[in-house]
Amino acid sequence: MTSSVIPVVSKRFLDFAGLPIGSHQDLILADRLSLLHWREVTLEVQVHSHSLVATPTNGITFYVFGTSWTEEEPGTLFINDFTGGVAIQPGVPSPAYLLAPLRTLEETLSEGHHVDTVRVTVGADRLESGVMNATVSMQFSVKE
Amino acid sequence: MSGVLLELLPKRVFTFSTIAVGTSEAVTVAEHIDVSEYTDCILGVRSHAADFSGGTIVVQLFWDGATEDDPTLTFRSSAPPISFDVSNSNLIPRYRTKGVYARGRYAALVVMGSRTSSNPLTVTLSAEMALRRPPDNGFDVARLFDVGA
Repeated sequence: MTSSVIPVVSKRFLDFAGLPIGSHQDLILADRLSLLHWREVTLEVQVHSHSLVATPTNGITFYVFGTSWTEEEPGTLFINDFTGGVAIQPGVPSPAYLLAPLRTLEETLSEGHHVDTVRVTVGADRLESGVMNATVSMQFSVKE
Repeated sequence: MSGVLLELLPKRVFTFSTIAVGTSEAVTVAEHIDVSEYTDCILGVRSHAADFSGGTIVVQLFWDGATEDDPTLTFRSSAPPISFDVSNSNLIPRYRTKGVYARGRYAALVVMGSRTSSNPLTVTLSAEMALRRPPDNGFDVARLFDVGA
């Protein structure tokens, strides 16, 4: 098998209506997804709809972090700084298709390449009042 | 499936508090790591605990040129393709990863401490490595060029 699709999140409505102005919130969407066997990985985000067209200073960003566990310290989560991500920014249409490639070996000056498991999170930053939501679905496109 | 995960270094405490100030000490924690069948090498280093007040600690991956012709000598690449200064932040626990194309047949993992003051210098580390290669599609080059293989 040279390519596959790993589901991350089926169509889901993310609503940050209760987030105060000037604050940030993170939600874990998926955890411990194994990407060990895949050399090229891209997070595909289908934005079915979003409200940020009307509130452009608010932001919703999807992150991928590399994670690791060890049996010697099972209660500790080891998470790297950044492996990949993409944001719903001003100008992103609704609907939209966003791609977040994970670090490739061609990025020789960068860290954050995936070893085995990853965590997918969504982060919301509210800078102005108003509706703040998005309906998304996500999956990893993976290739050997 | 083309990937394997190696546990290179179990959780271990490295203490450099006894080396003289102004000196460095390198500890080889794994060598002759066979990467010959793989193209991609991704190193992950976990920092469990640390006291970096006495200096710096780096974790480095070198290409290892071990040969049966002279097994007592150490042959290493002059520059490490992967080098983490795990002491550049006091954020613990910490996980750092970096990938490079695997060159040659073997790799070696080294932890080096450099003491700059009389304060303690210790770290608790563990490390893993993912190795990957392109799939074997059974591509027959001879048939492509019709060389009668």
